[in-house]
This record gives sequence, structure tokens and C-alpha cells, in this order.
Amino acid sequence: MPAGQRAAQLAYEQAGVSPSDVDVVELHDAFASEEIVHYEDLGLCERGEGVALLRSGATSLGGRIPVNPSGGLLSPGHPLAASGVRTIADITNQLRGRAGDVQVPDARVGLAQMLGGVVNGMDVAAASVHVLTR
Amino acid sequence: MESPIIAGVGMTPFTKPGASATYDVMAADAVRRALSDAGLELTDVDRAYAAYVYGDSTSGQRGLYHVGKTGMPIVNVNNNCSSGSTALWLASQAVRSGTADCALAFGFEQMQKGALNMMWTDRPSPVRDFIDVVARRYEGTEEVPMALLLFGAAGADYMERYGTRPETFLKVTVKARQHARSNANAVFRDPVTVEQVLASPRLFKSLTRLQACPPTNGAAAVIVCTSDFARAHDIDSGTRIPGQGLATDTAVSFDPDDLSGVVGYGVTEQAAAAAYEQAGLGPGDVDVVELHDCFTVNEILAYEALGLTAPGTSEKFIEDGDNTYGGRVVVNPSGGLLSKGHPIGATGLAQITELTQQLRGAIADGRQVEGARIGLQHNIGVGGAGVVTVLG
Repeated sequence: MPAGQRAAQLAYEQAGVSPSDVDVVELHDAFASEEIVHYEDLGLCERGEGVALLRSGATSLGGRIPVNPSGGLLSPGHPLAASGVRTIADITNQLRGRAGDVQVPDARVGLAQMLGGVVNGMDVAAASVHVLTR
Repeated sequence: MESPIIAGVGMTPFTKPGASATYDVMAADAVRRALSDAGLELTDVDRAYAAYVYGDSTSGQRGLYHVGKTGMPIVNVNNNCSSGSTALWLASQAVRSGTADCALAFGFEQMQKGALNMMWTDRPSPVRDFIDVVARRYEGTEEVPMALLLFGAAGADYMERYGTRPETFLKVTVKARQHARSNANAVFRDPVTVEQVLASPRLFKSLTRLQACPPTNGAAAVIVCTSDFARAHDIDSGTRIPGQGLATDTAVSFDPDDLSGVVGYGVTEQAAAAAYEQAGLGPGDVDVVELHDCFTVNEILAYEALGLTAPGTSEKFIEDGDNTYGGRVVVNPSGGLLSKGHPIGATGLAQITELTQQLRGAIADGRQVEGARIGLQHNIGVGGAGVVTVLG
């Protein structure tokens, strides 16, 4: 199982929430293609359904589960060590209702995911998933 | 909260740069030794903290994956020369808090030859403010490599304040070499005389090359666990960490009239106070010490900051032989950084390895401190951070 999926399972279990409870997500889109895989690793859709989820608009603002309302790494940029903290700050602002133009209405459960490194093979060296609630 | 048990320790022999395996192979070697010492498998370990200063990101994973890929949390730690002890501090915190039953701290360094200097020259140096304090006090500080400047200045300051004789500093190196004679893991095992230390090339102020630790390659690892875990895995629970403190700088580190601060005197005092208080012990209880003698002056400052002797009295402490076998405490039985070497990320964990073996009473090659019951470890990094650990 990929590290990102394992970290997500640990976080969901510890928080006592399921993927369907999540209102807003910030994740590691250092490359456009990986966002699709992360949808699946985070359980936002079934394995193999990531492209369909994207095309449905569910992960856009106004959709069922907006992903990266901040613009993600692709738009704000990716100062490596800062990104993981930035995503927590953005999710916190969403849960406080202070996200301005990109506010997800009545967001109560948020998820922040960050990955780093490729050491051996294709898996990441470390994956971190935080579930935040209000 | 209970004191973490030291379940296992291990280190590689330390070598000069270019004479060892690569960092990842050394790291795996040290981890295997610590696991073997504890009688554990990597799958028994809940989490790992990897310490190093020179290397790309996730070097810790690269090393630990040679031993096994268990999916455990691995955190890479950089706190300058105190990185190894900072990793142990994190591992100990995890065990103390009940977050982990068994945690691994390992450190490694594959260094380059020559004096420590900055790797990133397109941005402000993290130690710029420390260097500026020295430059307000002494002239001719430009172009001097960072570590030589700070510690050389701290030595000059100490001599001016207390009228200390130059030989006092030289004797620290002589003692370090005497202690390292039988330590097969040490880089420098040949004895030296006061005259030889004095005659070695001058670096800055009265600091000479043999008063500086060498760049070194090596790795070390320490495993800590709870007493429940120790019982379940039949681990010797005789050596624990009853007290540990990690401190960083305060205003006293930036006083141009007292340059002991820029090399961590205040940090050491603060970390030591926390460690002694947590352990319920004091400097008078300590039998054996591994302290951060990256330069001779720092050993002298550490005697005082750790409370082993009063401020300004290190010369007498050394003259009386209170820092060696037969004296009040044995300081750096391993040979310390000056003789054993200073592979930065590994240093703090190698100190813990030495002290654990001393407290077990099982060192067979002549450097055992007889009857040692309480150990004290001291590891600092400029920039800065310092860790003091009480073992018992």
C-alpha cells in the first residue's frame, strides 16, 4: 500500500471520520497528474475513478469535495518545508470561515496531506495526513 | 512519567573523511549494532529519528531502508552539532509521553576535509549574529572559518577573564589522547605531548590544530523503550534516561563582553538545569561524563556550565586531575570529539553509546570507569541548541 494511502487510513482512524465526512482538502499537487492518484489514496473516490471525479467537477470550488481551493502547490508555489504548514493554515482558515473568495460553505472537516521525497523505488519517503475538525 | 530505558546502543568505528563506507551504509551498520545489542528486530521499533547535517533530504530513509522498510514514521533531524542528541530527545519524548513503546535515534555523517564552513552562501548565515558579536570584540575575524572563529574567540575571552595559562588548554588534548589509547573506534589513538599540541598549526588566536576535533565519518544509534516493552522483549532495563534537557539561546549568548555565550555556555547551563531537575540529581552525583569537546576551550567551558567545577576554576580542576581516572569524575573516557572524532550527526549518540557501556560496567579494554553509576552527556551545536542527558 502506498505511504500516502497508509497515512490517510491512520489519520481517518485516529480522527474517527471517513472520507465522505471531509468537506475540503489541501493536497500535494507538485505535478498535475499526481492529484488524480491522491483522490484515490485519500478515499475520495474508488481506485481508478480519479479522472472521473475530476471531470465531474466534484473537486472544484462549488463541488461536493473541493480540493486545493488555495490553488495548491501548482499555483501558490512550493517552498518545500513551508508547504505542509501552509496547507494546515489554509484548512484552518476554511474551518474558521475566513477563506474569503475560496471559502467552502460550512466546512467542518478538513484534510491536509503532504508528501516528500523518493528514496527507493517509486514510493515517497514520507507522507503526512492531518484531519482537522471544528 | 517513567524514564525511558536504553534498550540498545551501537556505533561504527569513526574514520577520517574518505576512509569509510558511505553515509547510508554506516547508518545501517550502526542501527544493526543497536538492534543486535537490544535483541530486537527493526519491526519491533515504532518510529525513528535520523540525525545528520551534511546531505540531501531523506538521507535517513536511505540508510534505514538498508535494514528494512517497515513503513514506520521516520523523521530527519538537523540541529547542527547537537543533531544526534536532538534525535534522541525526540525519541525519548515519544517514549516518555506514551506515543511510542520503542523508538530509534540514529545519526551519521560523511564529512569533507577541512574546517567547518557554510554550505549556502547566497543567503544570510544562521550564525551571522554570533559572528557579529565576536567581530565587535576582536579584529581580524574576516575570512576565519566560522567554528574556528567562534571557539577561538571564546578561548581568548576565557584566558583574558581568568588569566588561564595556555598549557591548561593543551592538557585537554593530551588527556583526550590518553583516554582514546585503547578505544578501537577512535580516529586518533596516538599519545601527544603539550609541546606537540602547542606546535601544531595555529588556527585563530591561541587555538592550534590539535585543539580542534577532526572532520570525521561515522554513525551511531540508540534505541529507547518503555519498561513494559522491555519486560515483554526481555531487555536489560538497567540503564535509563532519568533526566534530559534541550535548550536554545537567550540574550546571554550575544554578549560581546562574555564570549562563552556564543559557543553555548548559557545553553548548556539551561539544558543541564533541566536535566538535573528532572533526574533529581546534581553534578556531585555524576561519575562519568561525555561532553562536547569540539575544541579544548569548549571542554573547559563545559566543566563550569555543567557545574562540575565553579566558574573560573577549570585550571585547578585539570591540575588536580579531577577530570580523569582517579579524580572526581572521568571526562570523555572515549577520547571525546578531540580524539574519537566528530561525525556531526553521530556524535551525541556515540556519547550515549559510550556512557551506556560504561554504566553497564562491561568495557574490557582498560577505559572502564570503575563503579560508574551516573553518567552525564553534553552535546551542543552553534546556532544554536544544546542537549544535556543524565543516565543512570
